[in-house]
Amino acid sequence: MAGGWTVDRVLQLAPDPASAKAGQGLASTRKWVSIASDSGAIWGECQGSGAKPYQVQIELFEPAFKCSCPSRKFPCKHAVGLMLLFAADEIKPAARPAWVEEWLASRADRAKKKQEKADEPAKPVDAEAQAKRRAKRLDRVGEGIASLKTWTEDLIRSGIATAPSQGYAFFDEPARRMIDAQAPGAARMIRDLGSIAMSGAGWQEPFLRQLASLHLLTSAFDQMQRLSKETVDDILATAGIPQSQEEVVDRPGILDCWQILAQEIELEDRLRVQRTWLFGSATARPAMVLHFAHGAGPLDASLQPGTAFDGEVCFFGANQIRAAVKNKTSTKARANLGGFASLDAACAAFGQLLARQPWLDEVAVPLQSVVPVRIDDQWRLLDEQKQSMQLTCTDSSAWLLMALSGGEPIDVAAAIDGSRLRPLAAMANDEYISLGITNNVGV
Amino acid sequence: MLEELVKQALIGTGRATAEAMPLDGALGQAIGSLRAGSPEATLLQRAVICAAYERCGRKPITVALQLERSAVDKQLECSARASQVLDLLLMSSDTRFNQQLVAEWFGYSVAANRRVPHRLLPRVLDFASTHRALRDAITPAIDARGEWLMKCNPRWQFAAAVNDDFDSIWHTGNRDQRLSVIRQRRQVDPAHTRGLIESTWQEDAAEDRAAFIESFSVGLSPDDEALLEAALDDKSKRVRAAAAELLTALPLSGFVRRMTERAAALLKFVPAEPGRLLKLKKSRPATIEVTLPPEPFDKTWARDGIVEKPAETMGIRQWWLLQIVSYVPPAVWTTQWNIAPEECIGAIGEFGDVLIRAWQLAARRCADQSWLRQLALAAAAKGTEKFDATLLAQMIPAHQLEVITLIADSPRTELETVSKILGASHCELDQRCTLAVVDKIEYHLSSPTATYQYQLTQLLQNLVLRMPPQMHDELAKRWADQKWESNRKSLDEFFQVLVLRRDMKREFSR
Repeated sequence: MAGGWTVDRVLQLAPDPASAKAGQGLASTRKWVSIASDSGAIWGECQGSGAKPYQVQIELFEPAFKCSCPSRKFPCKHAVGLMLLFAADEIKPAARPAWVEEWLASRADRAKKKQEKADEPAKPVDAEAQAKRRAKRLDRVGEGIASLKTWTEDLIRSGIATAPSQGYAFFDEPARRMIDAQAPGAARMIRDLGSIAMSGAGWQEPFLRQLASLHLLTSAFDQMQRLSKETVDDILATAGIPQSQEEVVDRPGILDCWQILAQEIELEDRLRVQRTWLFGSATARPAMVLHFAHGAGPLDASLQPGTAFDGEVCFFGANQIRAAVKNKTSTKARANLGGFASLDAACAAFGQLLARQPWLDEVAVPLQSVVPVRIDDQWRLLDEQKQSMQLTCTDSSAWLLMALSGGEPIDVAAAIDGSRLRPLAAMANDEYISLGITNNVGV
Repeated sequence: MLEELVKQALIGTGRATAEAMPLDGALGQAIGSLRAGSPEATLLQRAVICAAYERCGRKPITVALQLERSAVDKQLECSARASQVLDLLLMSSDTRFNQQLVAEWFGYSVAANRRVPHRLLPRVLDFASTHRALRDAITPAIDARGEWLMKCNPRWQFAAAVNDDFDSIWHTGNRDQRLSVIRQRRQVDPAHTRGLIESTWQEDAAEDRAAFIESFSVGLSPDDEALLEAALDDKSKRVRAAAAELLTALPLSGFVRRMTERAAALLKFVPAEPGRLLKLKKSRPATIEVTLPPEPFDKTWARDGIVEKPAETMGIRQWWLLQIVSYVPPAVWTTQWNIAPEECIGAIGEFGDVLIRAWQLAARRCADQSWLRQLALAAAAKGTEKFDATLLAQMIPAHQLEVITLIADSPRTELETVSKILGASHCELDQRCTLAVVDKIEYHLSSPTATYQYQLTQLLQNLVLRMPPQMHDELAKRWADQKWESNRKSLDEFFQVLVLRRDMKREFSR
């Protein structure tokens, strides 16, 4: 398959199911006046309803898309169709026409300018004003957090037994207050608390854990002056005080060969959240890169799951797993999912991370030579030492793992949260298979 | 530990004071080092420590388990493009084409000895469990890994999942379940199946009885005669008619003997007489002389399924003629008169239309291939407008193709007729026939009044699944023009399906 591009992967790029479907309709050479590729790009002219065909071009390294059609979706259906043809090996190599050359040259030009700008000495910042703004904001967050502390303790004083009968509104109100106090991270934790309360049987223990975790945030906030810089970063990140991506990639990053373990896309209202899980081969450091898109807007496509890249990754805090890619020097077509040789080692590594950062939710880790099994109606992963952990996933993902394994060991990427494993992807017979199924498209 | 804290939290620290927690080890130390605070804060701090302790220290557990491994696959995996096509088909919700396309995919893969890639196996097995008809076609291509998976998942054990307690299904099931018992058992143990039907005959509703009799059309044998003969005495008209239809296909049955006797008195073949020049006598073509059945209606006829009062506007004696001849296997005439079917058809004279209709019915009832072919060719030659497409259903594919080509070739044939006969037939179309249909479509589109038409959409849907897929490229060139503007959507759908068919055929023939 062309450059690691599969149908699934291309369809995942489509901004919505309608574009995915329309793209499939265009994945036929019949629709194209011309179509060709070289090592770095693919291009084609697609006959639309107008007299002049649309010019579609894709730069493969990023990848980046450009189309002369008026659609505001990105990538548009023409680009999706072109990518599908590419994935099907339907495109023959040819020399670049002028219009493609022009676009690629202008892209290179822009990249150069950007680099030059980045290399320029930074404008002197008004450090004093900045510190003032920051202090003001922290004050505001601090006030909100203080009220949250009272709220959590009141809840414990009167007992949490009645929490499920309070309804979502009971949690929405303090969550809104946290938004007003500019602490969206704390707001999200409160909303999650509400969801736990409404989750039915067995809600009590997770509820107490989450409430205690919130309370820890409030206590930590109180004592920030006494804590290390790293921990302060964790507290601010958990409360949700944003750091700009630019600011983060300005820091020195960690050089490694980064395996792109998996990618997940979640829909939160109109916002699409893309989580890409990385793992450093040498540093054994997990990382997560977040990208957001509104409505049918574009999601980042530069990190292709199942591949790896050499480069620098910057973290949002020394103990944070959230990260941003600073640069990529080279890419490798195949990721290596064979990281931890035993489940025990993976658990221990997670324990280390959690010990440094108590609000850590989950991280993705590569597991080497594990076998999916079903024991007493439970899905589990079994390592070569016959040690096992429970899986939390849909039956269809579990059966897919079973089909790939056939009772033999395979490499699996899974998210670990200190109790269970959530499988994300597998590598079997040198083929990378994502366990997230794109089920929203039709022929 | 955490449990104890949960209990306290549920009641609330306002009502119960937190008790001291006697703990040793690291956890005890950590909790012991907490600064004294309000009971609320203390409880929450303890909970944080316990939860973190638990999450940090989670260990996998050892299990004793004999791993069952899959055997090694015997076949090679299909090509990347072939699995991509299957992936798309399984993903799609378009049921008009999918079942047939999936069946076609597996037809090629089994012939080429290629297996499904492992990652698609769960979806293939899901598909097989909801599409019973395709199971046998799919099974060879899932290979050892697929069989292993089927063993692991009870939902996929469709072979074993069939309930084999046929007797109890027969007595308690609904009509569909009972019909499926007949279908499954008739080939294996026909006597048992007949026994089941007889065992409940008195209680079953007329509609059920008729459905059971009709289901005998598959695997009909002389052993069925007694039951069918008895059904001629049934109270229900539908049951009687169904039994008469099936008995016609048993040439040695008493029913056929009785009908043949009745009919022999009605039809007489008069061979051609060549003209003799010297005696100045004109030549005379062969004819069939028809004597209409005499009145009054013979009561014994009614028992054999013949209806006295005409169901349509026609003379009462012609109506009886039509019915009697329609219950005589047409091979009787060719044997008796020692001539070919086309000679019989060519020799009709008075009441010819009635005879043709009767023979068409009889040929369908007996699935007599040579008669069906000649009757269809004659009907097509006579005029395609009124062509009875139901004739095609029982013809062998090669004959169907011949007739369809003949009809599509005829300049008088309307698009709608082509669509109808394609819908009624089930043969694969060859290149010659496809081109005839393609010409017909192009002729239709070239007319200045051609706009979006439902028939065209239907015709394309019928064509796309049965034409040779390798003709894709040729058609893509031929049909790239503006004439298609108002039917663009139908054409796009046509090519989407055709390209999948072309690719699967190409991928498996490499």
